Amino acid sequence: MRGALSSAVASGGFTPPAIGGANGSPVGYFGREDENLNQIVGISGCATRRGRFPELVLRILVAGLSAIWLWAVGVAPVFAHPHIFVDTGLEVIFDADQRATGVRITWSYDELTSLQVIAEHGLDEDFDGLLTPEETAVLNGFDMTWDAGYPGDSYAVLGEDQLVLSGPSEWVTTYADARITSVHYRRFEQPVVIGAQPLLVRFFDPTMYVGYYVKLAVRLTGGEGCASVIRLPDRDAARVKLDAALAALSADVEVSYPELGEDFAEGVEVTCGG
Amino acid sequence: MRRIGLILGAVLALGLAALWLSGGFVALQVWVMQSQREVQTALAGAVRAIRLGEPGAMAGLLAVCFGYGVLHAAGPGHGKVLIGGYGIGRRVPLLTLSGISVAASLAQAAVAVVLVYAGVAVLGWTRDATQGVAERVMAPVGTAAIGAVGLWLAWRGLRGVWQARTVPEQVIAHGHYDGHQHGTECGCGHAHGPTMEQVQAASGWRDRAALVAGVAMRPCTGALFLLILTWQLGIGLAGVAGTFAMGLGTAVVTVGVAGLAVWAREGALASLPLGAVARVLPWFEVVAGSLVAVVAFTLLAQVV
Repeated sequence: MRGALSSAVASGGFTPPAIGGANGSPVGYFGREDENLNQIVGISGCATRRGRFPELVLRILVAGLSAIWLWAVGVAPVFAHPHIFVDTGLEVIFDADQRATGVRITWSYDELTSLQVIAEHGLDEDFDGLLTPEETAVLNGFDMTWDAGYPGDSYAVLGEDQLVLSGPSEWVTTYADARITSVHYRRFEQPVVIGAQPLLVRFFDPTMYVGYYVKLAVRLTGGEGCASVIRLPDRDAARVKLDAALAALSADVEVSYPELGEDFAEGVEVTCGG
Repeated sequence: MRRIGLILGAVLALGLAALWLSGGFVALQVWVMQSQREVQTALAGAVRAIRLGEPGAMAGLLAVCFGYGVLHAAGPGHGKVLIGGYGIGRRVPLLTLSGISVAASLAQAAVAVVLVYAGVAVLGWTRDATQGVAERVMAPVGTAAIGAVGLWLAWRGLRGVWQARTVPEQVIAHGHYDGHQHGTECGCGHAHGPTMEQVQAASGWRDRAALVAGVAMRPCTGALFLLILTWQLGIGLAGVAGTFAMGLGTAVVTVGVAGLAVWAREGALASLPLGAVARVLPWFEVVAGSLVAVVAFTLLAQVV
């Protein structure tokens, strides 16, 4: 691309200056015409001396245009994500044998998304920020009808092993302070013994349409001697990877937005004993 | 002095562009992404205030929407590629190009209003259906239109190159300011350099219409979102006003791009010896037009 543009301009030929013509004078683009014309008459005499300069400027021009192309094609989609911001909380629930049996996940939607859901369902007609019990019942579970195969944007691993989480249950939705908050429970397929390997629960939408941020309470219920710590991604590294993926995207027509949400994922790590 | 200013402008504008693209402006990009959430929250607050009938709510919404427009236009976009490419490729005066930028942004807002009120209010489309039409039908059509404008510019540039080569040097330089348009074979007894012809064409209504239509065909998703939301809340007029405020915010950035493009072009031309301008200018148009077309068709290929 850059090479092609460069040669195209180079072949345009920057031949030596013609003498003194008024043709092509930049009249009236920035200021008064007479002033411009005076300038042009004034500078025409030194044109020959500057014979080599135009090529440099045009090279800069070509570089600039190439850069605009990369900018427009390569970086554009990044600005579009995420659209929905979800403050996330986690409760890890242990049984009497100190095994983790499931997780209770809290999603608190940003104000605009909340307002949109409220408006779409025609709720809170008097707009006092409170829902009647009937309206709460209508809202409850609005985000809990999951398509088959949708993993629920929460992922758990024990060391290297992916853990299987059940579909959502026991969901509760509330609306307060202009934000919708929904809580749901997901059970581990098998109770998990957290020992040498830590449990890591992370939250992400691979396409990054939704961004999850661990900003709400993180709790362990049971699990004596266990502790939790919030794990944040290496955003700089993730961005470098995403930029590279987006740059590659422009060459491949069949790919959609790179699914690199995992690289930006926040999560909670639970360790026991130790 | 003026000439030095122009050349500096060209170097500055292109250096800025190169810096932006090579990652020097990553901080800005990150900031835009991070502020997205604050902007959304402010927008929600402004819409709620209007719904509640709070005093000053309308001014608040317009301010937020204007800011939203500026912020989102600060990212890359087809409109800016088209306006910038045209400004570099054609000898269009700054004021004209700025006028085109503002008109295009407002037309884009008008298209969003028409789409939402025809689709949601009259035809009863859902929000998803309306955004689907915008993204899957109008956006590709708009992108193709922008690509077509790019090809058209490149073609016109090539014609200019050919004309400049077939016209003897001294004729190019003779300076003919009557400004009427004709082709090389018009038989009027003398030939013109392409430049005045281009200047004439640059102010032609067809160029303006093509630029405005190319930009306007792609409604901004933020505007659609606001229009549907306010319609659902029964405060549709506020949404329409906010959409045009977003358009004005977008126009701030596109006018800036127009200014940089004109500055860069005039700077590059000012550094040329006068006789070379006529030969080089068509190449500007070829390169800029091709670039616009490549950008548009690359993006089109990604979504189709």
